[in-house]
Amino acid sequence: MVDMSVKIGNVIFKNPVLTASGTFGYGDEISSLIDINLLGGIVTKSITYNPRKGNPPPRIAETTAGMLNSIGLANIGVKRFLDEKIRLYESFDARVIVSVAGETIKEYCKVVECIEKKDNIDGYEINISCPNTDRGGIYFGIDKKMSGNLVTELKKLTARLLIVKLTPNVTSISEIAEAVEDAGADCVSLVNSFIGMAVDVKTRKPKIKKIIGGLTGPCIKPLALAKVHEVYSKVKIPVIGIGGIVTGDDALEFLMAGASAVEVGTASFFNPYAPIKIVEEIKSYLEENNMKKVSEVVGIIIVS
Amino acid sequence: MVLYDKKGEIRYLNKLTDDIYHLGIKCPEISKRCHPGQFVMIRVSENYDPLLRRPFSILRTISEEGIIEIIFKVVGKGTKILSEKRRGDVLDVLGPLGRGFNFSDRSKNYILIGGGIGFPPLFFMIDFLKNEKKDIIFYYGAKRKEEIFFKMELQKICAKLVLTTEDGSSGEKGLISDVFSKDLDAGILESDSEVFSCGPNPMLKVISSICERCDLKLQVSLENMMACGTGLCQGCAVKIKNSKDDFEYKLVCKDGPVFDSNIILWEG
Repeated sequence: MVDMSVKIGNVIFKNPVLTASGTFGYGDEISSLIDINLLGGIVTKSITYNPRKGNPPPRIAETTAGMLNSIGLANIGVKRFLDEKIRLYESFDARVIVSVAGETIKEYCKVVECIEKKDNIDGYEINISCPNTDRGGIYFGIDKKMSGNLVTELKKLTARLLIVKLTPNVTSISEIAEAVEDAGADCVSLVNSFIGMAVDVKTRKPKIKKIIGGLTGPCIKPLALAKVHEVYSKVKIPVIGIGGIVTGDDALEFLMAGASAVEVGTASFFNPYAPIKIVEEIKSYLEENNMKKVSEVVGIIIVS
Repeated sequence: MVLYDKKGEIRYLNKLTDDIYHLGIKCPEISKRCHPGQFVMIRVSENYDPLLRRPFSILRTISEEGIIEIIFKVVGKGTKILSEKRRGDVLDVLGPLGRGFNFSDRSKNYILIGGGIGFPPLFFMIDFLKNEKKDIIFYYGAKRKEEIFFKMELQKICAKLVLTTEDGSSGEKGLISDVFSKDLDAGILESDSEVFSCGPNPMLKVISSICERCDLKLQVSLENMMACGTGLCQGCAVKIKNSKDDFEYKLVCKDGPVFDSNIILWEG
């Protein structure tokens, strides 16, 4: 029997596969289709203090082996989230991580304060990396001082697992990772989407209304993997790998490059079963290679 | 809402014109539970290009055989690959998706207006209501004669079938919205009617303003680019009026694709 569980901060996940924020809604959209309890955890859509309408359409465009999105953190706001969604998680056996976003340190703090009053939540993923808003989000994630200050303030408010989701759209992602580690983050997750663009040559219009969007999907996997490996070699806290994971082998690449767990995103759009299949495929690999624990595979790339 | 993601075997794939195809897929679970106006998301390839599934509205179901039918036009990579499939090939089919037409007010006369390749949800609706002995008036506009499909069936089921083509090769020459507007003004149509329409957005926008002018209730089925079809990606936003002169975004995949047209903020 392979032990698939992973411990990150004070939370034990039954396996290392989570759904990525913004690709799995609030967890109730396709619960009739897949058994969420087979996953290590879910990361919700990013929650802000006030509801956000999101960006004008077109918000998405398909690209070669990937897609651009510019959703703009459309969400129901923390009040409705607590009123309508949080009770769903009572019956969840999978861990629930709430993604938190904001425009100011104060807003991030207010959201966490509201959620702290409730049970059924295992931790937070602080989104300082959304490329699709005019304020906040990525403007924290590209500045190590601001990132650090945010984490310092949030740490005062919660003893729950605090994951910080990083943007790859910086010169040195490990500098930001080190800054949030120093400020007390329990874990970093990376990468959020790469800033990208596509043009319709017939109409000469950008395919995304706001011109740029975030690129995700299989096309970013090698880019993401390099970032994960870089950060893994620089920080002591666990790293969660994200970026273009579709299969068990994709996930294993991230684990071997140093990730303690992975999040599956865009794959859920075209294959809702992908996250569950990835759990099974990782397990089979470990069994075939006579490994007892999934942690044995973390960071085992052979560099000769 | 119960959803299925199933392997559907292609039972037939007929070429209707140079670039329009009629596809029948065996998918019993989905076929049994479809309502007119709903759609399916089909993955045409296991490869990553194209990456995403494609949304297709359902033309009709043959539930005793477990079949769903769609009509599609080759417009890009995904539909090109789909057009090259063969009988016996298997596709990933996710559905039934979305909110279809609401027929709760059966006291009214039904007027259906379909434009081009957008007509399938209306065909499904007609097929669905065929035993109700309802007088359905169907306005059907296309580019040319070859792109008018199922004319015989429609003639048989509908109380009245009005055809237009842009080149005049069948029915009246012109746009279906113009003929509909003219018939309304001439008093040919019952004022106590409910209108259902699908087609390109500019057409729906025109139909919407005609119906508003004549105080007719209208349900429209919208199309949009989608990544997932289930509300996960939030990509298929459409602007909706809400109270206080403000707007909000609803999702075509989950809140629609059928909307009451009077809540839509038409753009473009």
